[in-house]
Amino acid sequence: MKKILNENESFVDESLEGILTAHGDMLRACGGDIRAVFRADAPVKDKVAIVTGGGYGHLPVFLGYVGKGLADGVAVGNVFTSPSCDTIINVTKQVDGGKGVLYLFGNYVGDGMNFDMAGEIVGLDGIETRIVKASDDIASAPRESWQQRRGVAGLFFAYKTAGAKAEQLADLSEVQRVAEKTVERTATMGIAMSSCWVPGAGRPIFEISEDDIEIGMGIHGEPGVERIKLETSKEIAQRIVPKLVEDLGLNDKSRVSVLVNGLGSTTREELYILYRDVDQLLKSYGIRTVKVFVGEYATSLEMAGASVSILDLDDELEGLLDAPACSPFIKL
Amino acid sequence: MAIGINKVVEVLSKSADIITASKDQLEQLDSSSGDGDLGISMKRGADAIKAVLSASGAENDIGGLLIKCAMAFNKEAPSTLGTLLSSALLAAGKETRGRSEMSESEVVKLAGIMTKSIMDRGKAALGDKTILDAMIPMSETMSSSFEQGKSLAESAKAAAAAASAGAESTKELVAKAGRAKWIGERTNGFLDGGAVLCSIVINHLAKE
Repeated sequence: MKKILNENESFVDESLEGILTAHGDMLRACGGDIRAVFRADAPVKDKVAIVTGGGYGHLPVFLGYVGKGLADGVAVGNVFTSPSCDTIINVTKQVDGGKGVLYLFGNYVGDGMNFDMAGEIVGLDGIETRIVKASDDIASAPRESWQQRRGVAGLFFAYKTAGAKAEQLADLSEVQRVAEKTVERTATMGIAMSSCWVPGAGRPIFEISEDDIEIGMGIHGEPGVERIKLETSKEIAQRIVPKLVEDLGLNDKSRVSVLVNGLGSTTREELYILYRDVDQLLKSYGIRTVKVFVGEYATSLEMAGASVSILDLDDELEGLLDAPACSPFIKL
Repeated sequence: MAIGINKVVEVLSKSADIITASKDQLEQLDSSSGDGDLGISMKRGADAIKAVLSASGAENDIGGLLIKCAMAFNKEAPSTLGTLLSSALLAAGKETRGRSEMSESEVVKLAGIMTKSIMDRGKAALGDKTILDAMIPMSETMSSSFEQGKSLAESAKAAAAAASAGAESTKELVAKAGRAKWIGERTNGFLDGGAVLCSIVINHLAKE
């Protein structure tokens, strides 16, 4: 796989150096730990801080959601690998504004352990932390055990609502409640069309032939539901949308926000075709769409494919979704 | 007999030496079912503990020392097993914070606390083909032997035998936790690196 880089080993750090140099007015790194990145005005006094993190290779997830109205800090790991507990501790101490810290990240084992342990350690210094994990990938577990699901693009909605709630100076329990509510009411399903290569790896993270697509594949190549021949956008929407509608129990009184997300190398032109077909299906159920996002919100290096996420809105979540948010990667 | 901080330093230092000496053996185990970095990451963690110990001359707080070791170990060995072992050190540290000595029965209790912290952090249980397959029998045997009136040294010897048997049992198990889970059945016939590590350390410590 052709990639623009210098050394495979410096892929993450040099990419971070570029981001920090380009956007130094908005983002900074903790002294001595370039993997601990925070918004330039942190700590924000009297505000609950939100810290996120995970493996690199998913931009704008996770670092791209550090900014006003979103998260306060991020711990960056190696490609597709959990950040170290040490980096999480560094960024937590940096962004804590005295009102506690919400750890908001995707549901993966390594990340869970390291955030868990970091929370325990900063707790010794009197910093209160809570954990909310996005678990929105409906292909990875049934609704009854939705908390076991993997976290994918739907994490975007939780950043947005919890970030807006924190910006209103709500307390830690309230910010946690909003994040949990958002995660529970979010469902995502994706399709992968081509694989991706971790820099320096001798093979792609999974194999898929030129004319196949995999339904429900995870963003690190975790096996999906089924592998089928390439279909039209309409057929793909037909495979995804009814499953999301059923999962969330949506009906003709529902109001939703829709996110059509590109996984890395699928064009925006294609994403809008898929959105068109998703929208027509939602209309056929009588579901009202009030807020639409189409673009790259959670990627997997150069993987081709897309995911569709739906957030089942209520008045509170709709209001929070409307609030302003700004990072070098996201402006709403 | 009370156990002072000097004894704790000695045990930690010896454990670090044992881990370092087992580097090649661990590496070999891990390359059959993991990504082959177990030996080197554990050695890095052990080196970090030695560095903390050599800088802890005036330290008089057993818990404080253990917490420092936990953080240093995790920083240098941020793998899954590294985080689990750091969790165990952290749990032991929190239990003994502000103390300059502890009783033998507290030492026995610590083995159980460390084991439980690994179960909680890793969300794994006995039979999942992890370090717990050596550690649970180790701490349970340690505690039951001690309660039956055996000395700490004798209890440790019994615990070491239980850990060896537990580590050996992982050969027949299918991985249900951690990265090895993804290759499930293919881990059959291989020993779990974490369980072997636990067995090696307790066996060496029990000998002395």
